[in-house]
Amino acid sequence: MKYISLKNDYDLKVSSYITDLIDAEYIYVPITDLKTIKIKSNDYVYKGQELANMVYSPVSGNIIGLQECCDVNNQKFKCLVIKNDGKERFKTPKLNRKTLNDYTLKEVEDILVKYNINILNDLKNILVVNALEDEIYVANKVMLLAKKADVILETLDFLRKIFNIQRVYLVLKNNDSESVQKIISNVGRYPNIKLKLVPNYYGLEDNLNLKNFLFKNEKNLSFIDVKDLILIYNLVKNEKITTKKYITVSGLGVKKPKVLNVKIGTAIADVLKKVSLKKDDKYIVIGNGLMKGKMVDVTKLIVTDKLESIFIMPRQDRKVQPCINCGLCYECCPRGLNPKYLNELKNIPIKYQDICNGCNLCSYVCPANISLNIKGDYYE
Amino acid sequence: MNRPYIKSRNSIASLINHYYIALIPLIIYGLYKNIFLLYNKVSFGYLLKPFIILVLGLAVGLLIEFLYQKFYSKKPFKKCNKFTILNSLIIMMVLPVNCNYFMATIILFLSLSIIKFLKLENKFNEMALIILLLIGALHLFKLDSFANSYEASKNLSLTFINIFMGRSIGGSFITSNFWCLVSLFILCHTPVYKKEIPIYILVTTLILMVIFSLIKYDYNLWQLFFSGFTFFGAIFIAPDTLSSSYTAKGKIIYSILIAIINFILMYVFKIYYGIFIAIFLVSLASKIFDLKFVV
Repeated sequence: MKYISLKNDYDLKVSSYITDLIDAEYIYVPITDLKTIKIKSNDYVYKGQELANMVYSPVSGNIIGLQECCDVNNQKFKCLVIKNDGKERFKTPKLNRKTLNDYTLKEVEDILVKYNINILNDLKNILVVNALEDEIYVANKVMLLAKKADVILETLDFLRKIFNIQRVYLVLKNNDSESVQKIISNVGRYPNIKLKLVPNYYGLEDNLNLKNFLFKNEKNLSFIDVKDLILIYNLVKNEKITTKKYITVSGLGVKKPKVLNVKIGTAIADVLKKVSLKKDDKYIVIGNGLMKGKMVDVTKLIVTDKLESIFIMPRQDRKVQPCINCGLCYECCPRGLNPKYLNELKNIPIKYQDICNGCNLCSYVCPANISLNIKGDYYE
Repeated sequence: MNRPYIKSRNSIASLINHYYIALIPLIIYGLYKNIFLLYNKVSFGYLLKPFIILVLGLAVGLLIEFLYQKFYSKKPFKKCNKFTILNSLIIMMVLPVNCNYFMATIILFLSLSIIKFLKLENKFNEMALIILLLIGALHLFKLDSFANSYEASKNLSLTFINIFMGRSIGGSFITSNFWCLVSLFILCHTPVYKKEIPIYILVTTLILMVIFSLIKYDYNLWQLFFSGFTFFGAIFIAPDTLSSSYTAKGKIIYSILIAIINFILMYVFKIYYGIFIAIFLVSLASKIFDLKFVV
């Protein structure tokens, strides 16, 4: 397999500070099962209050009603609309004076079961924290590492102790100087956490690809994402659910690309009002990056766990040519698939669709501009 | 439709441009050899011959591409792939300076047109087949000669460096092994070019040459190897994207088979154009090598 670094063709460097956007007027909370709703219209809800089965309110405010929204994959669902009062009131404020290290394994497991979190269910002897971001121009993890390096390392060391993990690795990109610097200045306090730097290759955010690249011969390996470490920290230390997340808003249609700290459930239309956009009808909105992302309709789109970035880019007209049999797609596929051959089949077997992780590298390298990705629909 | 917004810099146009750039050293050396090195000893008409070959190659390719776009594909001419023009030029570069240009042009035009309009480009290596047809037809009617009298008289006194640099008898623009290697270096700068194929072919052929030379040294065999056909065929004709293998193992089998067949043809039958026969035969089966190695 040939590892590829994406070409940096656009000048889209995000600013080094994070812009908070946690005071949106309306917050939309997705409800999967409407029968489980526990509140009524016009009710006042507190932050962290259970609205439906395992659904918690990210803000305090009044319930307005139900509205149809969609996520970045254009999946539609019903959402409870809360008029945010901006006070972030808790029903019973929790004063916690315990440090992370005071918690026992039993207490941690109980909290995770209570909130239906199963990230730590299958931990092995070696734990790898994958802090890599594949999407070019997206800086969520970079910012997370830079701003919360101490929390990430503390949680990681805590997990190592209570789960009796033999080796812990934190994997970063070697060109990511800000994160590397921040982690190095903190990691001295945690001698059991090893730092691994990898080149800026596309595809290593995927755990299986990272395993093949860095830990090919290791068997007892489990992976965890940096965002999950923050989630565990908030749940265990403060018993708080994650209500905010970082999203990158960038593109040639944005005057100053930046990372925003937004409430989950904020409408993207409200997010875009807060960033200065260039006025032009030719721009399109792409959700979740320029490699794996797809064009989205912002009218009903809200911030969910799945949304990582919004790009505003000019419309493209790319001419597709017949395949020239160059084999670059096959050469670059991180999963060893043969996209050219699979695209020639009338029905692609499901086993190949399961192997493909939809990284889109095959379409990226294709000199004939052919869409070779066999998984899902992306930017059109 | 599922494609990323961003795109690598790989493109078909860049591959074709790399080919044209890679041909420049060979064209310059071919003009130098056929005009300056040999002109003084032959007639004045000889001066124009290398130019005529290049112009005919380009003109036939352009005409076929134009007719194809006009009557068949109905796309604007500017937006079409220019593989036919490139292939036509490459084919003409293999021909000797002393050949019947009218007959060569007719054969080239007819064969390229049939392949283009019947869309047979990816079924076999069109360049190898047409070169074989041209060599065969011109040879049959005795309308070709790979040497003029001056070239022939000097042939036996050439040193290895002379031969390697391209002084030996051969096609108009393909005799220089050194400049072929420079072309390979240029082509390696585009990821779309299958650089493994020429490298495997040349290395395998060289290994076979060394092994058999250790058993029984044959000067003529080395002269055949360095006549330019093997290097030019391996670098410009065998890696033809449409007809060659594209999987890693497929490329190895494709190249090694070409090298072995070419060596047998050179060693047993003393054929200087054996590489084209080998490429054509192996290209017929290249898809099978690929299908064997699909995940």
